[in-house]
Amino acid sequence: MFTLIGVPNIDFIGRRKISFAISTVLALIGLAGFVMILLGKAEMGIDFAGGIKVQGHFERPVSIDDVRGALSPVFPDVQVSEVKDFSFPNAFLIKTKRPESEAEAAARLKQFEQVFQQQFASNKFIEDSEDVIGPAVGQQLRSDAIKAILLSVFGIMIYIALRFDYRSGVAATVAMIHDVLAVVGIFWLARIEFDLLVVSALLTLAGYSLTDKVVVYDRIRENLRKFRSKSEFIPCINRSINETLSRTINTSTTVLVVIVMAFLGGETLRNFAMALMLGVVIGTYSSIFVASPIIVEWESRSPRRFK
Amino acid sequence: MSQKWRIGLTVVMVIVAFLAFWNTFRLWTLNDTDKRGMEDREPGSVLRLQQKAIRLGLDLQGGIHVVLRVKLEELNAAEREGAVDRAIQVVRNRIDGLGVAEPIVQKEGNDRIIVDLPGYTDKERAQELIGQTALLQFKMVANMETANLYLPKIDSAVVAYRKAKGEMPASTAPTSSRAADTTSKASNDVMAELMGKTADTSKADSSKMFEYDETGPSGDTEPFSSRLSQFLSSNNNALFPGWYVNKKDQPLIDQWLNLPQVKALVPQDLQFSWSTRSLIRDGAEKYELYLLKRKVEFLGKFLEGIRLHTQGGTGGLAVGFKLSGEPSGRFAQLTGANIDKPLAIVLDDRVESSPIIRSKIRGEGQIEMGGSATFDDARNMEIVLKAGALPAPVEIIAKNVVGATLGSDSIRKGFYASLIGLALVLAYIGFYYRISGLIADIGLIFNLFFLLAAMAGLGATLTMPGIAGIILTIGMSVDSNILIFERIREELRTGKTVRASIDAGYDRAWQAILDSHVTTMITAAALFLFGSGSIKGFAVSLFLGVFISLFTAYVITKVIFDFRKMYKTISI
Repeated sequence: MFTLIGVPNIDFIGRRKISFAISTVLALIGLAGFVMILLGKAEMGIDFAGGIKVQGHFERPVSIDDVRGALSPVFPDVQVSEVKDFSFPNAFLIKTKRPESEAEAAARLKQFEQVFQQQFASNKFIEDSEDVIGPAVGQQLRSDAIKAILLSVFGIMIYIALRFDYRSGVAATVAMIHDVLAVVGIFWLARIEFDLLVVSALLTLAGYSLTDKVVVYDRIRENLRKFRSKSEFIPCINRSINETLSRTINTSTTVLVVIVMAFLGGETLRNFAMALMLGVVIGTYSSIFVASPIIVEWESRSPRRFK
Repeated sequence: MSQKWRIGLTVVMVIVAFLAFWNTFRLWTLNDTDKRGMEDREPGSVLRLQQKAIRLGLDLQGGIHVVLRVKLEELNAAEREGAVDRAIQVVRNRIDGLGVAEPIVQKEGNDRIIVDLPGYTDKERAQELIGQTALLQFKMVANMETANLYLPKIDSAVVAYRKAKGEMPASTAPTSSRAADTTSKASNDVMAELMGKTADTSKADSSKMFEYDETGPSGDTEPFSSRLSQFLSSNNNALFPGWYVNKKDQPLIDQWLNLPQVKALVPQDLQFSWSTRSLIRDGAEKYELYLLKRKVEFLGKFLEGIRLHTQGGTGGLAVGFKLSGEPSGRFAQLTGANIDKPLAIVLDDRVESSPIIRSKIRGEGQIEMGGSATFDDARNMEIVLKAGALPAPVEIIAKNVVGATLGSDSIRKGFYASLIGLALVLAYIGFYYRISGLIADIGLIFNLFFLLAAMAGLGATLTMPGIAGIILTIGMSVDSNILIFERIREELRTGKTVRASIDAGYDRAWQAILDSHVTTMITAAALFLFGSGSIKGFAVSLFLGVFISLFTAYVITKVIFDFRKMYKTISI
């Protein structure tokens, strides 16, 4: 039997003051980010904000500053980034957002092509992909995303309600929301764009995070059957976390490994992989340090199991 | 579920998966030279293989995605009725000729149309095709004598072309003889004046079928005309150049017709045109090919009051129309001069129908659908005429063009990312859990194989986020194994026997496995319902992957553990 972790005996519950403090900060930042999204002040991808996104490459080397310099007089909000791992060298990704109308979105693409033709007359820019989204479609995608979020959260809640007792259901959901908010907060602070893929990642993460907690709760429930007195409650919870620690870490490690691989998938998947990766790390942390301490706090404030 | 059932189910699954995955496997193992070879031997064969394999999303194979909005505000209330359906019909007609394997044209919401052209990257042409308003024209079909003049010439040109290419015509010569087509006439549509005329559409004529259909060596000398089977004739038994072409021959014939040396043979005032849709004749799917006079005789925009109705006498279906003013006179002149000749109704260069003119049509006429026409056929004719008469203006409100290079680049990256991810996980699990880990690894590979097979079998589309979904699934199915293994280890530590530990470990881990899979499936389902394009791809691969992972955990993993219970020791 090869073990990295085994069954240690760490007092996780005893450290709950520190973890609660960290988590409160994370959740508050997330809440701020969430409000900013609702107010439309966070960085949104073009699928939500509307706009154009063009990836292409020049025949000969061009500096990113030249590209930006050529475009920014026409499009003040233009974002230019170099694409390094593409089949062709000198590849760039160019975005502008928030067109006023559908016609403006289309017009921007033409305008942009003209700018490149004039400014880089001797160095042809070959488009490898273009994405044009008008404001109406952006609006539609936003409302679709909201529907998807509501439906999956609702579905998962029902499942949890059927499967678990009230307290662990609520605690697991609180911990899950904490995980999602933490990622939202970090993305917001790091000014990473929210787009459809990031939303999908957050939803996937919600499911993952929830089950991660459920595994620990399952164990707590099982162990509680063996312990009868109030004084044994905290040791019992601690023991459950320790017993499942090896599984928690092992699963998270493998999931993390495969997600890191998604980074190799290039530009499209980068933010998606980033959201999942952060989520798994935070989810693992909260499975250990947050989810079960919530149960302990709740029990100590209003005893139910050990009156 | 007993052990026997589990083993049986596993075997069945493996066989089904192999069958489902076979075409995809063939396609993925073909290199470009093989594909060219296949395409030379049998045009369209690669396309057909693609249709049977896992579909690749636009982001992976390149392609064009367009969201159109029908500008309803520019239409009056009467025109608005069915405008989106007409626009869809028009877009379908147009992209039909592009040779796109799996085009998607669908209505979304009240006024939107989504068009997906996977694998097609000529964005200028696509935009031109999709964004334009429909053009409905009426053209005369050429004479049979004229056609007979050019067919032998085309044959010789094709023979010369094939010789130059060094093809062995004998091996690809067409097929057995096709029986004279007696039923075809019954479906010929008839255009007649509304008042007072009775149409007898069932009066079929089969006496003088023009037979190009020869077997044996003629396939070598007449590669072109031997693949055509004449069907179009009027009531007085005159033949017209309208032929059936087997669907499998269609790409080949089209390729020949587009050869410069063949194009040069056909005079400027004539044109070959395909029918919009294929139809079933003599048990085979066929397209119609027409030789038309290029001159536009009449425009669809002059039609008014288009209405589908059943005829009083015969109960057959017909689409009526009205004409007024100056165009009415011109149409009367046209039809009066061409009684008993077919008039081709051409929408965007494709022949919709070729009804025979029965009489001079003045103010009001109708197209009688043939005896074999269904309600859908008639309804389609109505939509086509309306599309020409009441064009629905559209605008492009979103589009996404992915070049083929970017697509193949994404595939390459996605492939390596999955492969390295998989290898790392396999190595880690194999190392950590030893023999048990290796068994889990085998299960993981099965999982992946089942997932790809399910996607191929269900015709699901693989997108870049879909690949991420697959990668994620690898992680999730590993979790099932980790849960079981860790539990068994714990049980072993308490001093239980191998048999008892496996039983307890598997049973106690099962609930957690179920939980994690169900919650993920809920999320995937929500994303599938409300996601678009590439997100749907993620949802599909995640849902299928997790579902299959649950299956392998419940069936295959269990079989293996039950088997291992027979041993006194376990490497875990």
